[in-house]
Amino acid sequence: MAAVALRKEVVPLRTSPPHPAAKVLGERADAVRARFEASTGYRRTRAPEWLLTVLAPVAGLAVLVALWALIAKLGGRIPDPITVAHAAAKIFADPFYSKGPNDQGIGWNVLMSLKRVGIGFGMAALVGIPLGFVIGRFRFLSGMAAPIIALLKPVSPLAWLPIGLLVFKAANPAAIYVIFICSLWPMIVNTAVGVRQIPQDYLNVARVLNLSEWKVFTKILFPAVLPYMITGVRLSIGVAWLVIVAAEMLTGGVGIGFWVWDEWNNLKVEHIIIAIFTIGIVGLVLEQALVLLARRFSYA
Amino acid sequence: MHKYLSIESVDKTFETKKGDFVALTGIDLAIRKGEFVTLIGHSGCGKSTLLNLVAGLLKPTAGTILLAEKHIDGPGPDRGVVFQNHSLLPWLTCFENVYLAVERVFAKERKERTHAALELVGLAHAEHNYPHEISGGMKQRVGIARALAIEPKVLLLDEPFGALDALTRATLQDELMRIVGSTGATVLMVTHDVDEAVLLSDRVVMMTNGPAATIGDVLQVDLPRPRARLALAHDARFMELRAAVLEFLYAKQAKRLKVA
Repeated sequence: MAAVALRKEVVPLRTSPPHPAAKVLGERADAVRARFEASTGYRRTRAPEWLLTVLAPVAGLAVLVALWALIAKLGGRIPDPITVAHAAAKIFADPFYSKGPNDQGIGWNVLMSLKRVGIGFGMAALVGIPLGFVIGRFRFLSGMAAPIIALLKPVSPLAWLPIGLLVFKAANPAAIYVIFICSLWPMIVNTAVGVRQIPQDYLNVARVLNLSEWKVFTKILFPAVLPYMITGVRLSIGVAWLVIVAAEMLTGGVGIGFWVWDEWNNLKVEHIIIAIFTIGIVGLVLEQALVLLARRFSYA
Repeated sequence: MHKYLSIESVDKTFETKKGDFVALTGIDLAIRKGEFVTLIGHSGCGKSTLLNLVAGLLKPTAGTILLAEKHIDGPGPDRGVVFQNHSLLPWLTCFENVYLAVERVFAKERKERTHAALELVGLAHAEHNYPHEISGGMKQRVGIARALAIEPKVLLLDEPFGALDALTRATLQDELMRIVGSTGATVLMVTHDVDEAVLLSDRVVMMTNGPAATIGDVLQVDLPRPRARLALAHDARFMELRAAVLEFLYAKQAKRLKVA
């Protein structure tokens, strides 16, 4: 799965020249339009490109808010967008207040969750990337790792939580441990795929130039694998951000997932909706940052 | 004749799932210092295999290969290899690609040597471009610069212009003639282009069809140097030599079409 997603990221789209007939058809369409404009005096101009790129997403979001308002109006206990906006204004006016361990601003909650993701993910990168390299390089190790990865990868990370609680006897390390487990697989798999995808040509260059092992690693292996690695990192962070919310709901403490659960217990539904948007926006920012990073290291 | 590069009774057999595959058998070839030799033959005749044996990327099953009286046992900086598909590292600039080879061989004047090699192939202005920013012909020039920069005893070219269009190919052939003329390099080149073989070589080595391919005939190209492409186009001797290679390839070693 990861390997497929990754190839899409790395292989640049080949832009083929337009079909010869396209020019002819285009000219014909232009002629027809010109005649229509001349006969009716009506001139239809195309919307400029920037308008489309701005307008379409804005329209999409407007539809989402409209649907939400409609559902709120039809009843149930879903607060409408305006109530939520007022609540959000109040919450984000002071995001970093702290009134004891169980009552902190949304800013602290988000930062605590990001910290857990950062630590768990960082440890997974330290283990997963080198492991991916050796698994990709040596066929025997790859054969050894295949059944383990195949067996453990589909397991929901939350299934590991009781083991974490048992071993660490505390909620916080258990949550970090769950992040570690779920971040590990995409990084191992993608790094290993990257190592296996290195073109034989590059390795032949290394051989005829008699490069040292260190040079082979720094000048050929590492740069060749880097785009795959970044894809692994991206998938890992995405999964980790999904999982942390659920893990925190179970472990408690300070964190955006716990905050959602706490607000549910307080029956402040508008806060839950704010949390949903906040989680979405943070995830979006993480994803986009890594997409930018990946673009920096693609050699098209 | 002084043997500089000497291939002596070389056989190469590959082990495959369907049993052993004899690619080359009984190859004997001696190349003088400063000589330009091309290997020509139909695809699958093992000419690239022979080049890879000299490069040290493959080991012969039997026989030996000597370069300047030294036994070849694996790749080494005494041989510069130019691959068909340029094989430049895309994350390094042209300069860095050549420098990678230079720093492996020389301790001093690395930058000067890299610069000189790129100047030799007429690419001093594109040093700091990345491979994806330059044309196919320019990439192949960088490949040649990389191979020449280590000042190898022999230059090995594996269909270096095969992936280029005809006009670019002609330009690079002329360029290669000029470079080889000015450096006095010893060259072994694989090609399937008859004109290229006759135009560039001192000798054309024609190979029989595989499996168990061997050297079928060797043609001495006694055209005076420097050679001019346009003048040769009307040259009777050039035509004769060209015809001799064509004769070998399409009459004696005519490739039977396999009906699938």
